[in-house]
Amino acid sequence: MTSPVPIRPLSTRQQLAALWVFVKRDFSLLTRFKTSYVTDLMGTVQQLVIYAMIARFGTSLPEIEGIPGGYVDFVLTGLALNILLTSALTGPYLGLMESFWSNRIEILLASPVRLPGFITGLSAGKYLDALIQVAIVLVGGWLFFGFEWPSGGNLLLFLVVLVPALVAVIGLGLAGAGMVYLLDARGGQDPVQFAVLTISSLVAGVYFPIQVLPRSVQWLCYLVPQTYALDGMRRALFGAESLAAPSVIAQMPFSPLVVDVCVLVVYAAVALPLGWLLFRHGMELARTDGRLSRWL
Amino acid sequence: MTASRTVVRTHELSKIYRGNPPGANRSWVEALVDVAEQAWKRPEARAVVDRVTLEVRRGELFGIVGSNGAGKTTFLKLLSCLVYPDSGSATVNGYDIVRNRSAVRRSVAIAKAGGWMSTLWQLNGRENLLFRARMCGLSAREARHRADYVLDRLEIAHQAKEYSWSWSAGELQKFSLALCFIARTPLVMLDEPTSHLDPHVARLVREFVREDLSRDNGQTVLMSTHYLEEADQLCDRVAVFFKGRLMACDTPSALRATYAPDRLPQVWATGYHPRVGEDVRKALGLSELLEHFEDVATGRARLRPKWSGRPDPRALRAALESHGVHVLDIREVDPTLDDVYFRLCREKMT
Repeated sequence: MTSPVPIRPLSTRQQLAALWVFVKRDFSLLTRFKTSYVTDLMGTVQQLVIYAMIARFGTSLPEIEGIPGGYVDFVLTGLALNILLTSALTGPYLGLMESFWSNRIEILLASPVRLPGFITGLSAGKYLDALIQVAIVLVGGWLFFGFEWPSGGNLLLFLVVLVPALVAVIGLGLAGAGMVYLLDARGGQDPVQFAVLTISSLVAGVYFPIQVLPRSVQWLCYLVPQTYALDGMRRALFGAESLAAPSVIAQMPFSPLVVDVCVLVVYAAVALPLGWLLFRHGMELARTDGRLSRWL
Repeated sequence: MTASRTVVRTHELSKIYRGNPPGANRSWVEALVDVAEQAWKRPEARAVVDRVTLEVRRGELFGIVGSNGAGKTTFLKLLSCLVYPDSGSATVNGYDIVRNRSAVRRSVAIAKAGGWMSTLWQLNGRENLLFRARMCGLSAREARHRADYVLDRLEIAHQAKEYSWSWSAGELQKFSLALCFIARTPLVMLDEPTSHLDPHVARLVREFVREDLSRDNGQTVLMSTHYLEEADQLCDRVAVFFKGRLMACDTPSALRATYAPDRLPQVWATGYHPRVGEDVRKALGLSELLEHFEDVATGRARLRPKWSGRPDPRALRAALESHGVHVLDIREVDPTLDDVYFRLCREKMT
C-alpha cells in the first residue's frame, strides 16, 4: 500500500465533501428508521391540524386583516418559519448532545475537520429534518386547510430577512451548545435555548399577533430575533402593509420591514461571534478539564 | 518538518484533573451551584499524567503498558489534542500539541478502547470507513479502494453492510483498526487494541498492526495495552506507566536486562487458590508470590516466587503440596515484562 499522506489542511472542496457526508449520515437516519421518523413527523401534522382547525372557527383579528388568507395563512407561515428558526436554534445543541451521549464526540473531533465544520456537520441533519417539516405544514395546509400560497410576495426580500434571521438564531444556538460544557447543560435543554424558546413561542408572533398580548408582557418580544424575523418574512410574503406593526416598531420613522432587517443584521452581527466564542470556549474548557466525552 | 526521525516528543508533559471527576453528569442548575462552591473552595487536584518525557521514532511500534488508571489513555488523548495539557510540552509529527492543534489532528488517527466508540452507529460498516476516509480528505475513489482492501484483510467484508450494534467485540475492534488504516495518517494510536478479544482475533489484530499499519502502510504505531506479553512480542520499545508517571522506557529486552536480569524460578501447578498462595508466602517468608491463572476452574496457574533469602524450591513444593496443590513442574525461566512491571511498581510503591 502507499505511504502516509503528507500533513496538509483540507481544501475547501474537501471540507464541503466532509460536510456532505455528515448530511448523508443524518439522511440515513430518516430513511432507515422509518417508523421512528414517521412518529416524529406526526407531531408536526398534529400541530398543523390543531391550528388549521382553530383557523376554521373564524379567527378574525384586525392586526392581520391585510393577509389575503387570514388567520390560516398567518398561523401556518408562523408555524413553518418557527420550525426553521427553532431548528437553527437547537441544531448545534442537539447535534453536540447526540455525539456526546453516543460517545462519538472524541472520534469526530480527532479528525482533520475543523470546529466550524464539525458543528455545522452535526447540525446539518436537523436542518434537513426542519425543511421536511416545513414542507408538510405548507403543502398539508394548502391541500387540506385552505392555505393560500402568497402570490404577491417578494422572494428576494424574503431572503433578505431570512438570512440574517438564521444567522442570528444560529448564533444563539451556538451559545446554547457552549452551555453543554460551560454549565454542564446535558439534560436535554440549555438555559439559552430554554429562555429563547419560551419567549419566542409565547410572544414572538408565531401563533397570534403580538398586539393581542397584554402590554405588560409585550416588551419581551423585542428581546428575541424571532419577532423581527416572523414580522419581516410575513411582510415580504404578504405585502408590506399586510400586518399591523408591533407598537415599538410602529413608532420608528422607517417602514417596519426596514426596522426588522436592520435589527436582525445587528442581532446577527452580535449573536454569531458571541455565540461562537461561547461555544469555542466551552469546547476548550472541556478539553482542559477532561469532560469532553461521556466516558474516559 | 514531517521528515524528522521523531514522531512524538514529550517533555515533562502533565495533566491534572481538578474538582468533579470528568464525565460526572450534572444538571446546569447543579453546575451553577458547583461554580459558586468552587469560588471559595479549592478543588482537589490529581495528576493523571505526571511529567512524562519520552520520544517515539518514525516507523516504530511503541507500547505503553500500565495498570488501570496509570494514565495511558489520557496520555494518548493529550497527543491527539482531545485533552489539553496543564504543563510541559509535546510535539506530534513536528507540530506542537498546544500551538498547532489543527495540524496535530490531521496527522493522527486514534482507535479507542473496545472499538464501539470509534464507529458511528448511524452508518453500516462500509459507510463508516467511507465517512472517515472522506473526513480525512481522501477522494471517493481512493476511499472505496482502501475500504475494499481493509474489509478483506481484516475478514470483516461480510459485516460491511451491517450496523455496529450487530457486531461482536472482535468485529468492533477490527472496524476501529480499519478506520485507522483508511485515514492514512503518519501516526496511529491504539488504545488497548486486543482487550476482550479471543486468541484468534487477537492474533489477527496483532498481525494487522505489525504488517499492515506498521510495515506496509509505514505508519508509526503508539499502542497502550494491559497485556505485557503482547507488548513484549509486538513492540519495538515499551514505556511503563504507573500512576501517571513514566517508570521506564526501552526495548523489551533492555528492560528485562535492567530490571529483571536473572532467570527466575516458575511453578506450574493445578488445584491452586490465592488463599493457599497467601498461606505459603507467609509460611516460607517469601517476599512475593506472583500468580497467573490459566484456568480458574481447575486452579491451573503459573507462580513466580521471590525469596527474600536463599531460594528453596523444595520447601516451596512441599508447602504447596501440603495445601493440596498438585505441582506439575518447577524450573527457572527467562524473565518477562511482567517481572519488569512488578519490580517497577513495587519500587514506586515502596
